[in-house]
Amino acid sequence: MNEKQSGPDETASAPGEPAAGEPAPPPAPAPPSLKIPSILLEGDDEPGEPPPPAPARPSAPSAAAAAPEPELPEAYGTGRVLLTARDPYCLYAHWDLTGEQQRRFAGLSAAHELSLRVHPEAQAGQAPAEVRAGPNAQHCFIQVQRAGVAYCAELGYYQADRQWRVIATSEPVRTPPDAPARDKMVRFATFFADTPLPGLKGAPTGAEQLRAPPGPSTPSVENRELPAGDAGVSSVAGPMPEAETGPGEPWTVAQDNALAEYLGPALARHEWLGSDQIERLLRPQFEQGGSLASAQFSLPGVAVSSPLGGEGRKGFWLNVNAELVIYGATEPDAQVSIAGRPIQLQPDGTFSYRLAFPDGTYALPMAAISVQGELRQAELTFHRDSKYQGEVGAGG
Amino acid sequence: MPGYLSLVLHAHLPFVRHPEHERFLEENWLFEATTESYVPLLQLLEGWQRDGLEARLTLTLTPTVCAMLQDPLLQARYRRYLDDLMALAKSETQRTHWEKPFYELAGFYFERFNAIRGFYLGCGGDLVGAFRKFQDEGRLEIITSAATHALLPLLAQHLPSLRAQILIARDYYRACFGQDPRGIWLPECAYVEGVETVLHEANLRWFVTDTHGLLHASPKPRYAMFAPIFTTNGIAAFGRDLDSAKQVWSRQEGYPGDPRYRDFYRDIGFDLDLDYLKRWLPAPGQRSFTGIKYYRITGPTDTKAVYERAAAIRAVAEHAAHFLGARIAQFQHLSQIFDRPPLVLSPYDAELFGHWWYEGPEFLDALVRQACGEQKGLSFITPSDYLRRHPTNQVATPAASSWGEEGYWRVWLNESNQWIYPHLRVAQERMTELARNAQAATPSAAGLPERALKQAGRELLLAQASDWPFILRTGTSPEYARKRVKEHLLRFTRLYEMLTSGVIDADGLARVEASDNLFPELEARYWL
Repeated sequence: MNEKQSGPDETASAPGEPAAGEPAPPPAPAPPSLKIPSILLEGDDEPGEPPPPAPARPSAPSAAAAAPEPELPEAYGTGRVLLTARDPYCLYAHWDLTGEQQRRFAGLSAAHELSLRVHPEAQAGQAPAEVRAGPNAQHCFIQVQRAGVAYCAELGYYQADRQWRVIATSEPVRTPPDAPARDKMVRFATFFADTPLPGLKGAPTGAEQLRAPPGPSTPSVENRELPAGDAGVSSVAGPMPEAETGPGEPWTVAQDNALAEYLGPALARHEWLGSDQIERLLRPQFEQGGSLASAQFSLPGVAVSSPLGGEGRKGFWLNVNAELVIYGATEPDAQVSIAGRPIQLQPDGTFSYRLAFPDGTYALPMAAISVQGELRQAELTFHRDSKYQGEVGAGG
Repeated sequence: MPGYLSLVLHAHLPFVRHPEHERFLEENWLFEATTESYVPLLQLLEGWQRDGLEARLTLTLTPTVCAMLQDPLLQARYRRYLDDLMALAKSETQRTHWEKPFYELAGFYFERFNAIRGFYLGCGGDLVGAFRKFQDEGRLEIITSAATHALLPLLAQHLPSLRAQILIARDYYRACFGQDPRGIWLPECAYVEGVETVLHEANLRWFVTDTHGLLHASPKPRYAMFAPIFTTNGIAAFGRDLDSAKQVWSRQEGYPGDPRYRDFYRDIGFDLDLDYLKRWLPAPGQRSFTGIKYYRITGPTDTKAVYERAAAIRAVAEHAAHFLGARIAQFQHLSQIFDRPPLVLSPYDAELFGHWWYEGPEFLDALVRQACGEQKGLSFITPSDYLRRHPTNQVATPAASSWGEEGYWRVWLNESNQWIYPHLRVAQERMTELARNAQAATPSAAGLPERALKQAGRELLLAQASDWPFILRTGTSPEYARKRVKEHLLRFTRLYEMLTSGVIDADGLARVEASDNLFPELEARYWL
């Protein structure tokens, strides 16, 4: 299918009248481009300058916080229309008019507004689809009906006499196809991997082996036999796949049908599987929530946001847990151990030891030995017995 | 008739380097990926080499990843990150003294981080060199990508921008790996007709599209996505296999969702007392992932069970066997139809293996070891090797496509991020204007003007990165993405004004050069 089945128009807007095609006066020149405050280039500290004290960085570098953040210009005033095919059925259009230019053209329009006409390039004479641009709009996304078709867009307006005046016309853009090609012509070519391609320095004359088949029903296959065991192919299990060994049997309708049957799910694809989908892949557990406590991100290329955010929780909840902090002090050159593990003392002889404290009774022996070999010992005993009402989770 | 399996891993991160701050949260993207994916992948390759396993793998190392991995500042910061991580893990072995399952996991993490650190220091922090070694030894094919991972179809209306993204990437690859790249990962598998013209100029011989890039190609490809096609100028396009993609990526079927695997989101960075954590967090006072996670996915429940490493490894073995069996069945089925060995090309984000799917590297290891241990007629192959072995392929034009949501450019062009493109369009044309001015200058521009011109190119490239519109769309850290786009565009504009006015602020230029320091040998003439 190359065409959508529904929707009489290319866009949601009513089609306009045939274009007169008369050009509008050119956009007045835009004011000189904005000067960029030098702070932008000075946003980085001098290399080698002492680093700011930690904690160093919120998400917005602090250097920019002192001055108003410079902005990009709202428009450059080139008066052009940029048209891009986003997918088989959607175009993106942007028109580069300054506010002053927009107002001037709107003033020339009977309806005090601009419009965008979109039509397939090959049907320039036919009634185009039309989108009315809002008074300050500079872009729109346009639904179109046909995949694999080149479209053009015209920005313009209607005069009081209903004549269409064109401000700018886009370059044509082609929407991607959304179905297998009807063209089943098969032709093969041979390009040796280690030989430069035709047109490049070092390529042998006539290196390209492209040739058309005698006809669609008798496709021609050109095969080049390679030495067995050609470098670079590794066989880890069983016999190697053989290199091309001369013209194959003609491809049959049965083969074509068998492959189409095998590909069935791929041809009717509904699941998109790229790096932007990792979040969806992992979301089942994400949605169940954890005991996470703030918005978060990780590597780009994936969509991980707010593991604890509202969407991850259902209703009221409580997590609670407990830890112990054992702390003390001794001679700075003493050796201290807690539960048999040596503890690093601070230069002043203080120490701190943190422990997760689950329910139960625990004894914690500790010892300190001076450099003279004098021993001091302590045994601390702890008991935790938690009682909960309602659903209460552990926080870590 | 046996078949070929081509595993293609794509390692990419945007260029994030902030010398103006002592610590910068987003720099952790690189550090996390290095710890959890890049070094483990190198350790895998080392193990396969040690054990004599023949498993050819393809890996994209994007130019921005290479630039960051080779940057001395980021290398020093990564060493600090590892030190902090080990200190945190060690502290956890103390804190969990009375909770044996957590205590054992804390010890596991400590040992793991220690091994990562040992590997990193052992190669002198030169991970690009470590990967290069495996390529030089024939165990890995490293390919490039667009210079800053720009979505090429959205640049296609400005050919000089396409040329700059691809030719600068090629040049940088030469500097990193001492040879020309043979393949290129089109960012997000995004292809539109015309890209191949520039690939040809760069002597790049192949790229990957999503499944429908081949299924909707014209004329219709005989072998669907199970063999590459040649564009009319001889560049091979390989299509992604859907079955093997679903087994890893699919929300319904994907292996990473198994209840035995480690839960990505339950990280102690969010679970534990902030006062305890703050000394190890990249932005103290702001919670973030630490990489230490104690729970497994468990299932659709709020109550997560403790991660059991042995059970997870058993799951890995099962999933590797399932994946292998599915490929064998695929080959057997296709062999009954085809007159040539079918090729299954399975591309994945490299960061999926390890960072997102913690057991991903073990899965790859198990897959290779099981494949090598059985006689089932599966050969690992890289696309370049395939083309050497099968130089004759059908000629067709791939369909415009990407592997993003709904298969085209919706992720990178929508209401949240459309504002970027009009600015890019003007900047791109101005860059071409600057390059022409420089070419026409007599004598040729040198010194400050040349430096300013190159820096303008860097700023434009950085503004073109697909990561920013992606992040704006997903909303993960949109303010940072917005700020980056604006900064690069405004810096570009300032440089443009300097060059067109002839008054160059040498100090300001030096500061920007020190910050956005990638591609030192950038050639501005590519924008002509």
